[in-house]
Amino acid sequence: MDVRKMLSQAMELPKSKLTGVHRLSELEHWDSLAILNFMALVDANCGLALSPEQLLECQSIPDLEDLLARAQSMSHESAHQLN
Amino acid sequence: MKARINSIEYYLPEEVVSSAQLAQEFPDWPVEKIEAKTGIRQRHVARQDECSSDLGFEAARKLFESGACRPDQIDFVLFCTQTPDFFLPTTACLLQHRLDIPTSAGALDFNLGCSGFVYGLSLAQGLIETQQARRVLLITAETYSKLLHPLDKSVRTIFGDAGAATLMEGVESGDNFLGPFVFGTDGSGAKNLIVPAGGMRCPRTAESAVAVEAGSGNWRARDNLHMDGAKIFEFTLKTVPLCVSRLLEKSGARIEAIDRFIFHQANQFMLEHLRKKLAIRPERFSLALRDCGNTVCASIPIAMKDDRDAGRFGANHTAMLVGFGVGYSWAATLARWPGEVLM
Repeated sequence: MDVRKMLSQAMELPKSKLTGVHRLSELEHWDSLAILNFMALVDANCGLALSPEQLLECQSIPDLEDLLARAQSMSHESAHQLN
Repeated sequence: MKARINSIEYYLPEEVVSSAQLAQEFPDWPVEKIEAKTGIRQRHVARQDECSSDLGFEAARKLFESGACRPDQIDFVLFCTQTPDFFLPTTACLLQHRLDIPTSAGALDFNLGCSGFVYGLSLAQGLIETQQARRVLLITAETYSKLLHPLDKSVRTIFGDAGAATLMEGVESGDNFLGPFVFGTDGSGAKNLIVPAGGMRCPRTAESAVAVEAGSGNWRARDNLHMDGAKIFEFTLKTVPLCVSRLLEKSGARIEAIDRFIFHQANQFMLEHLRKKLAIRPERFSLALRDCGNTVCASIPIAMKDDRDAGRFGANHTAMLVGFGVGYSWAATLARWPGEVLM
């Protein structure tokens, strides 16, 4: 789960453009279409359907990493409970 | 008595809005970007004096002219739209008269969007298999263009107007041609695809017609269609794969045994994502929005008709139909073309 890689794919930018970037507001390509792309990539790579509200609350790339980690852990817990 | 689809015809209004035209209006979205994301090259748009009933009428006229049946053989009209000609009377009643369908026929409207066609098939099947009707004319027609703000590219790039007419008939047969069905509803998503003003809850006023900037450079008023694309995408990701699994479980069919997957033609980005997620081979998956856009309740019958004409959906083939969207509302079924039917 490489958040920076998915982020660069979502914005259709090379990953090198994210070097040194911390805050999402520094990324002019982080727009409504990029959010849709990111949701699709997270679903395809991690099997998680993130909510746009959760994504919009993220201020920084580490916030996105935390969100994904939490969503994955919740998903594992629900799978465990089902088993 | 078993219900089956006999034939489908559709009608697209003459006026066309191309992606190139939209790219001129919205310079931050080049034509390549619009077409790559939506999969849509052009959308047909109804004239100001052209309503859903007109599009449905033209589609039904084509169906009768094809020889599928005569108007006097129809004993029920089901009309699905969210943009009716009038609050009242019922548009299906107007169409009964205009199409010369006998006054002994039943007729009703139902208000659903992208799930409407599959719900219509279910209603028609119920009428036919309980022998309340022998031939049902299901018309699904929409003119969302009338609800869109001209400066809202998020919806103007996607939606197109269209009408489709589907003839459902009852035949004595041991075979099933339609079903099972699965349905779903979640009204908590109502606010994410809505026209806030214009009904009784919030009538149109001078104030409701005032457009405000709604983010990403889009403008809309409360009289216009509002779509939260990201919320709709989240709903789709969570709902459609489960809906497909439930249908496979209920029918006992394996996904490999389905010849054709005809989903509501929302936009190419969403459809391609769902196709890959469900591991459906591209040659079995319908994409029929390039020349007409997302036509809401008409999108599935348009795709079925195009597939049928192109030989992609032939005699005795089974198609999975999945409608999902505004409401939220969703429904899915399996439909089989009978071998001998004229299309």
